[in-house]
Amino acid sequence: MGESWKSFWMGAIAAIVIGVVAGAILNGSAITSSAQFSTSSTRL
Amino acid sequence: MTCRRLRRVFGVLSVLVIFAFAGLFGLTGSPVLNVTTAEAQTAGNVPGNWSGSLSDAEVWRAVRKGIKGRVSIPDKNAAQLVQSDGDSWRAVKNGPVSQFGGWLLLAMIVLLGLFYAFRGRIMIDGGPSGQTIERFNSLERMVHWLTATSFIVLALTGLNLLYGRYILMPILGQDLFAALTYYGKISHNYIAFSFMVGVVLMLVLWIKDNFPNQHDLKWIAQAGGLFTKGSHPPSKRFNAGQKFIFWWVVLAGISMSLSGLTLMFPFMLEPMAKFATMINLTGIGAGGELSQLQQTQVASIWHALVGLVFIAVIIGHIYIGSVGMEGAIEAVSTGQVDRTWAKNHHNLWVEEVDAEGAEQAEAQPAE
Repeated sequence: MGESWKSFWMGAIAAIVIGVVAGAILNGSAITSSAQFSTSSTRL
Repeated sequence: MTCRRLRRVFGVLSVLVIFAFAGLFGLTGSPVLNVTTAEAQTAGNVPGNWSGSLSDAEVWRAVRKGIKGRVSIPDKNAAQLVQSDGDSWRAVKNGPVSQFGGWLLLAMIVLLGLFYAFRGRIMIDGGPSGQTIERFNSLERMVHWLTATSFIVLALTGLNLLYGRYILMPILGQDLFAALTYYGKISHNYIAFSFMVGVVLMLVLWIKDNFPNQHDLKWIAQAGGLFTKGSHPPSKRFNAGQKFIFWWVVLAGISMSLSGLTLMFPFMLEPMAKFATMINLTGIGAGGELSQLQQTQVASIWHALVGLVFIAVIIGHIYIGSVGMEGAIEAVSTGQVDRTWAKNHHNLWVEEVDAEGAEQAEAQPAE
């Protein structure tokens, strides 16, 4: 396999990296939609 | 005590007993005063008598039909206690959508099997020449695999959400299936962004070679030579079949992305609000404006339907690019394809590349 599938591995790794970055950004956001729309929030 | 006084006392006591019995009879509703504690307090009515003239059944019927009350919290959706459309959504998802998808994927696999059985592998006419020509550079191949690997993860985790409980859970057991589905759904959410990046890059890299031209009509008329050995309709860099795949991936990819984002961020992102209303106007839904929750339910059904068709199309793409055709997989693995293969399937493109090569050779001064 070696060289012939180098682009496959690069693409797969890129997919994982983008996924991890997306996860970090989404989880790091200040408020999730579940918290924002929770009925435990009684602010008028 | 005199008789008169006795009669008076007896009379007063009798009246008191009668009043007491009347009161208890009114409270218990039973002539023999034989009732439970709760009924003794309410005489069989709803405690507090809050429902007025409505019975409990009538109130529950209104709740079940989605009546909205008043809430003082920011989330106005909470004013609707029960959204019975969810029952319809679940019935459609687990019924017609699942059945359609299952039959579609099975039909695709059977059709490809039959095609392979009758046509066999499409071989290079005259055998490979041993000389190669660059089909895709390293960036193009990397973008292809970025999109492809993301798609595989999304497809498998997505199929698990629809069919996993019927197919995998009996095999794996509840605990392992639950863990697999939990991490699978997280992967589905995050790898979606990898897929979106891949589709955008593909669009940028290949759109200029995927506009329809007159050769596509001849290619379609000959069914791409798929059903006749030795038949090779003319084609530039991408034939009509590949252009269909390109535009399908881009357009269906955008559709999946928008519906998927609606599902990931319900009530916050509504990119499909107008589209959902359009579908609703056809009479499929309740008619009129859709609530946010109804839009999310429409997005979920749409996402599942388009996803299932997407998987079926890509199964065909994977087949023809690997098992179905000799010399095809090299285009996206090494990037170098056999020249005879290229002349068989993309003759006009080979001529363009050779002409460019000749022009560049002429432009360079002789050393």
